[in-house]
This record gives sequence, C-alpha cells and structure tokens, in this order.
Amino acid sequence: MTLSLHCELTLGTLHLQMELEVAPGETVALVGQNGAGKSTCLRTIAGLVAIDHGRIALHGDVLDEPTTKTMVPPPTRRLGYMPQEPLLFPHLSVRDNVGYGLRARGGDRTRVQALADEWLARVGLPDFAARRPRELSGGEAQRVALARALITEPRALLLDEPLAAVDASARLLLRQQLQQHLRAFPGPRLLVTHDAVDAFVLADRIAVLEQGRLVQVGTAAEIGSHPKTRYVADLVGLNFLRGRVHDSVFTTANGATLVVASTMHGPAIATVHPRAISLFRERPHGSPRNVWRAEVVGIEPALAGRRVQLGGPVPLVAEVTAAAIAELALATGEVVWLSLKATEVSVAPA
Amino acid sequence: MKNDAPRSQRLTVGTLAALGVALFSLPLLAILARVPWAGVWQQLGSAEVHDALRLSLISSLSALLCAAAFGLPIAVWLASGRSPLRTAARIVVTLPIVLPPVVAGVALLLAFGKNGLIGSVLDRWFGLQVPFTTFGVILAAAYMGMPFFVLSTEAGLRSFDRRYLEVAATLGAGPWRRFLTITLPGIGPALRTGALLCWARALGEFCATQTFAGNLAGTTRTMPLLCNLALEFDPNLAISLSLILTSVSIGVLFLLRHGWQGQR
Repeated sequence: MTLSLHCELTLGTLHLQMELEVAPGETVALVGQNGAGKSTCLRTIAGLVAIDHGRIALHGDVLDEPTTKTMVPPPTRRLGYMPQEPLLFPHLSVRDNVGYGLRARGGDRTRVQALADEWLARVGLPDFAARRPRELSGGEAQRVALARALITEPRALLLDEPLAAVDASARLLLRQQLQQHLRAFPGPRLLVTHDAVDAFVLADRIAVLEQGRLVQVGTAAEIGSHPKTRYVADLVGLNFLRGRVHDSVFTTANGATLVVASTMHGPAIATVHPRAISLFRERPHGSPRNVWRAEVVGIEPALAGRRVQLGGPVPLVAEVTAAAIAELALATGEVVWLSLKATEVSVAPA
Repeated sequence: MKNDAPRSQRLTVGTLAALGVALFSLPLLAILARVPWAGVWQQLGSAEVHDALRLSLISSLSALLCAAAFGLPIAVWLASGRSPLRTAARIVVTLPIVLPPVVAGVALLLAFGKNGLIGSVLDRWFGLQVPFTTFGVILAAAYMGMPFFVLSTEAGLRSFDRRYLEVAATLGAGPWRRFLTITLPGIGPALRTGALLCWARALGEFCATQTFAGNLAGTTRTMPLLCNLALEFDPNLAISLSLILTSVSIGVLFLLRHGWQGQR
C-alpha cells in the first residue's frame, strides 16, 4: 500500500513539483519554510486540490491523474487527513465528532458511538465524549481530531503540523501519543512540520521542501551529515542526541555526558548546531564546559566550509571554515579537541 | 477620554438624543395608555379576530416555508461565487426591503392579477386566481419577508469556514451530507436571524397585501388589515390588536438579541 506522488501544480505564486514515495508503515516528515508547498502537497493527496500534471496513487489505485482525467473525490479516497487546526465540528459533541466519518459511511449509530468512545479512550480522553469542542484545550482538540481521522481506518495518514496549534506544555504529551499512534498505524504516513525535533522524533525519513521542490530526502542521519543546501543544514542538518537530562547533565544512551544549561529532568533530546562546535589542536582554555578529544571520522565539503564528522562516545558533526581545516591541518584519522558551550546545547523533553 | 467633551457639547447631544428617544417611546406609551385593559380579552375573543389571527399565522408561516424552500437555494447560489448575474439577482431579491410596499402590491397585481403577465395564463389555463385569495396573501407576505432571510443566510454562508467541509469530505461525507450536517448547523445563527426577520416582516405586512389581495374577511384580512379597518369602526379593538402585534415584535427583538444569538 505504497503512497506514490508525482505531482506538478501551480497555485498562485507557488509552483509545486515533487516526487515522493511513502512505504506502508513508514513515516515521512515533510519539512520546509512557510509557503514552501508542504500543506498544498498534503491537500493534493487528500483530494482537496487537483494537480496539473503527474499522478497520485496509493498502491496502484490512482487517485489523481490529469492525463486519464482521473480525480477521485475526497470522500472516496479513504485517507486520514488532519489539518493544521483541529477543526472539530463545533455543533457536535466530541463523541459525534469522532464518529462522524463512520456515520458518513453508513455506520450504525449505536455501534459508531461505542467505537467513538473506544477511540476516545485510546487517545487518553475517555471522559470527554459528551463535551463540546469549545470546552477543550488545543492539545485535547488535536487528540480528538486524531481519533476522528484514525477511527475510519484510513489507507494512509496525512498530518499537517499536528503539533503547531498546541502550547508548549501539551506538546510533549501529544508528540508521545502521536508517536504511538503513528507506529500502530499500518499504512503510509506523511507528516508536515517545520520543527526539526518533531521530524527527528516522529519520522523515519525527512523530505525537505524548498519553494515547491524537494531538495533532499533521507534519514535524519543522512541529511545531518550531507545537507545539500544552507536551509537544509540549518533546519535539519543538526546534531540530535537522545538521552536523559538531570541536574544540568545530559547523559546519552551509551553513558557519555554533556553539561547543558537546562533545569529540566527526564528523557530528552539534545540539539547541537554544527557551527556551535569548535575544534582545536591543543586542549582549549576558558569557559566551555564540554571539552573532549575526538577522532575525525570524515570531512565533507559543505556549503560554506567543511562538515567534520567526529567519532567517539558522542558522535557529532562540526562545521568549520576551509581556512580552519587548513590551519588545524585536519584530516581523517586525526584526533582533535572539541569544545562546546553548555548554552549551545538546546534540550527538549522527549 | 470619558469626560473630555465640553459641557455644552454633552448637553446638546443629551437633549437631542432624549428628544429622539421620546419620539420612539411616546407612541408605545400611547398604546399602553389607551389600552382598554378590562375589555382586551373580550374584544380579542370575537370571530373576526380569530379569523384574522388564523390568516396571519397561515400567511406568515407559509412565507417562512417559502423562505426555506426557495430562499435557502437562492442564498446558496448567491454565496457560491461572484458574477454579474448574481449581483443582478441579489438586487432583484432584496429590492422589496427598500421598495415602497404599495409599489410591491401594484407590481404583484400586474404580474399575478387576472390580466397580469402570469395571472392571465394561470386564469385561462388552470382557472387559478391569485389576487384576492389567501394564496395572494401568502405570496405578498413571502415577497416582503423572504429578502431578509436570503440576505442573512447568504452572509452566514459567506463567512462560514469552508475548511470544516474539507475535513468532512476527507472523512467520507458526500456533498449532501456535508450541507445537511455541517453547513446548515454551522450557519444556524444566521438562519435563525433570517427566519425571525422574515417571519416578523410577513406578519406585519399590510400595504402590499391590501393592494394585491384586498381586505376580505376570512380570506385576506390579516391582523394588520383588521387593525387598520377597526380604527374606523372600533378604535378599542384597533388598540388591542396593536398591543398584541407590538408584544410579538418586542418578543422577536428579544429573541434576536438574547435568545438564540447570544450563545456563542
């Protein structure tokens, strides 16, 4: 049940031209700036926008193909689509919102209500069935919207910035829940986001969209080590580390530690910008709290300088200028000192 | 900001405003002052009042049905885009709001009267006569009331967030189901406002009805017509009927402001 997308369309100033395949059981995060075409891409798959050229198909079932005048209308596509805002129907109870899709497909009222209650329990809102959407917080509404999409057993899942309308305190819980539900969903999942951490946590692959074109598709590690454009480098070409943070010390899965400037506790994801890492021949003096020796595993040309892959217990990518490479006489296999300020490590709960 | 207007200006505004409000409240007070309180119920119990009440309810509620049957489709079409044809149609449909009612009556007569454009055809082919019948009263009431319903509903449809319909579509709902389960409830306040204004206008319709349908007891004599007639032979009855109609109007205003709209 692979979702394959070859689409070309012009909509106002946006010219979208991209090819992408999402396998069953795979989550692809579509990232990019505002106006890059992320939402439009999702809307073409959902059938809310028609493409000008190309073909959108789900496991051979053609959904949109202008050459054969095929345009399956949204109600018969059987896709789960979650727009940026939850858009719960304000006049219906939470239970009836969740059951709307099944009722639209002719489900028996009593059975649909029972299933809706079941799904509400699954998204952690078992006592919310009788409430009205306006009584919910942003995070709760988004979970109801997720249940409303999943209950119809869609063939693929399309999520447009599912965490954008949620305040920071609810974000973590929602992200964890989303991760669970994405894992449990058997079909292809396409997720639009502009948050690198969300993409890293939720997606198997990341597809970067810039001005209507896909500039790079790959795993977070692949993109991190070879970002093709400056924008990709800044957005997703970052070092992500999983671990736990306690008393301003971040401990990675294999026991290495970093000093961080964070007061939080518990599982966390640390993000380090490659340009925040400084490399030295001799042990540096001064204030940086994180200083250690690491082997240079590889040096890649980058857009402005070089990206130096460093081995050791905390594998990182550092970005330095070509002049610095020459000055330090860096080469693969050499051992260098690296330093990283505690304040340059941003920590987010995971 | 509150008190920086000079005293003279506040005095001028206050006096003129008070005079203006008096202009509106005095007629109401006059009705209350002249109501023959002891005899109201007895007066309203007569057969001619019952006939007029029945006709008024039939015509105003029928106008409401017409609004639902034809006004809603008009509003849906008007709200579905922009075109010169729509603009022209909107002008024609909303004209009765500003048209002198007597002109409306004349126009209806010229169209549906015995020698009218359509009326002659109806008469010759089907033996149907519209003017001076209860059907004529309904037509006049619908003609005068429906524009309010169309305007309000179109405004509601235009401001309705279409993204709800997109979500409903991806959930499997076809166009009819989307319209019935998402759009209509979504524009509920606009529908109710339009329905109330339409009904109130139809209930109060006098001049177009009198011109087009005449003033025949039991057939076309609605409450406003009876009230007008009673002014000559039984002023106390006219006052009592005015009291009833005023109470209904105040009730409509109350519902518009508090009953149905204030929920959101």
